[in-house]
Amino acid sequence: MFLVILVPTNWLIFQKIKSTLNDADTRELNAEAEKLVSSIKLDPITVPLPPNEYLLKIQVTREMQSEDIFTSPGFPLLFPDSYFSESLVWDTLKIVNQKKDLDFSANMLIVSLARSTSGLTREVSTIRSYLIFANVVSLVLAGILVFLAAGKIINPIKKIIFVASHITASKNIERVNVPQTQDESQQLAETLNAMFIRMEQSIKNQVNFFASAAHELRTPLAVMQTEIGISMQHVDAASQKILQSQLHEVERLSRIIQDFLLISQLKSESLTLRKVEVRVEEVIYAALKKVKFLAQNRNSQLQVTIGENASTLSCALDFDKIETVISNLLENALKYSPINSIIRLAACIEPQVICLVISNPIEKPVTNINLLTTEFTKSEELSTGLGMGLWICDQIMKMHGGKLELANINGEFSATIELHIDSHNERTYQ
Amino acid sequence: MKILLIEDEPKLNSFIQQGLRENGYTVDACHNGSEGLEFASIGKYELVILDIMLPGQNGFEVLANMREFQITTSVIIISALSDTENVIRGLDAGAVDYIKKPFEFAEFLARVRAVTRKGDPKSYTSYQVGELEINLLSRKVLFGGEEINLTNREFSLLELLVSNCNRVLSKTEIAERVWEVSFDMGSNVIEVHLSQLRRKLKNEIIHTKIGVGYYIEGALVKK
Repeated sequence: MFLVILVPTNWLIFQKIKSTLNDADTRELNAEAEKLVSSIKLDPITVPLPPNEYLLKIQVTREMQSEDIFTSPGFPLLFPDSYFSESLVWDTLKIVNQKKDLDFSANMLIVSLARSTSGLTREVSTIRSYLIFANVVSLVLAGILVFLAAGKIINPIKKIIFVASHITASKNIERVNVPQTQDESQQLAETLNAMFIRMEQSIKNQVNFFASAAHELRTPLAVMQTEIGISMQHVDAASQKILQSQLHEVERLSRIIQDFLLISQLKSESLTLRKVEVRVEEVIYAALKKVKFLAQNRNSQLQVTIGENASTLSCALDFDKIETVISNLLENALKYSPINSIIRLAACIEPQVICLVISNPIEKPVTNINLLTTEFTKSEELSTGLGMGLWICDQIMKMHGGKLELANINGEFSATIELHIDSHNERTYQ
Repeated sequence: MKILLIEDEPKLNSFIQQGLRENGYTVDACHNGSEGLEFASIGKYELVILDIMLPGQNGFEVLANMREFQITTSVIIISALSDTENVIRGLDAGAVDYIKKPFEFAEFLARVRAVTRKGDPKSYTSYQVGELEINLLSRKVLFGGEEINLTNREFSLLELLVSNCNRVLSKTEIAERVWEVSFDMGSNVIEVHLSQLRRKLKNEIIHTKIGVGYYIEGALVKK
């Protein structure tokens, strides 16, 4: 926009200057010619010589015949009519004609004075260069000023955008800095902060609700589990089997409640990881313990192999969440493999990565394996459940900076989880 | 062995009381925090089992007040508040253990046993076999007078082998008692942990009976 205004304006100014210079040049030439006309004498003929840069032609017209009195060398040969115009430009010369009536008849003295236009052209060219330079400089300066001014104005907004884009729903949402600019950016920052306070309150309510709901749901389960546990001490083997089965169902219900809570927290982005330094193999053993009844019910065996170094490493992770991931994967492996299967769990440590592979035989290959980690997705083979277990696992792994990969090769389904070890948190024990 | 149970859920309170009594403990029970604090300050208990979400005073307040009143009785928290934040808060406040609800009663009893062992004169607090000494309270292991640093799992494994000195324990039995899981025969979990335990004990004390299991040989002294 600035360019659109500046360039035509400067072009008009340039044209005006050019015209003014041209007029001044013509006036100067005319003044010189007038001076010559007044100095010329015809009887006897006396012609004053003009300065060197001028060319002169003197004619006298008598009865429509013109007679050259004097012509400077190099003066151009013009059409006769040309001498009757006041001024003209011929090639690189500007020519002015001054006429003076002679006293005794209708005869006329015509003095034509020519001067090269190169001086004028040079001057115009210089002015044009100055104008172009001034335009470019002003454009650059204007650009810099606009950039700086825009930066000053936009910077607070950019900071707000940066902070806002990194904000996740949590119990403690970071506030954006409020620039004391008394303008819209300050208003925007204050509005956003007010909104964050409302969000924080809403999340706190939600988290409190989750905690209360979890408490209310777990308490009756605790009663059931304790009652069954105590009853099992007094009954015969047959009844113990029934109670064991009930105990397993209570535990399953407990895990489902845990999954529902995780789904709600993941969906509202209010799930926070509480990383503590733990021994990696202990997380695996805790998960194995959770699925032992399911393994017994399905007559399946848990084959666990751990690398020598896998049993000597601890790292910072959220024990409960990773335990949930492993137990969910083991439960899937047990549920969707044929009865009497061997479920393999292999743990190894590669440089800076803990790798865990859970594999199980399957009767039919899973066709939509890449979709299984998306929410509410179930394969035809994995037809029971909510279709959220692998989604939860995937989300928790992502929160830990790790990944979950599923594969389906040669009649075997495998889930691999990788956890990157933060070198600052890594400890090895002898 | 006298235990105070502070749990507001009547059925759970009643079942825990019953379970503890059947296992030889004397139990006093109450249903709210303020009453529980009163009981704890008057009675002489070896252990307090404390819920968190209680009427009157919540469990954290009860625990804080107990410590303020110089009541140093061991406290096990049982709570449905299972997030790590609350577990840390409870342990930092002075609880010796935090059991998340719902729990298996057998595991709950084991944890109660682990805490009450300290105050029970009939319980053994240390084992000695040859140069090996295990203190069950401090969980300290000395071999040839030198302290050996063990993980919890390795300690449990060694405790099992020592307490069953001169008896060969099969892999299945070890898995059931130390890991509470049945591993397939192709697993190497026990071998890996035993190998590390052996290395720490200079390969001298744990023996293998090929095809049967593992054992420690020697005269066991229980203290």
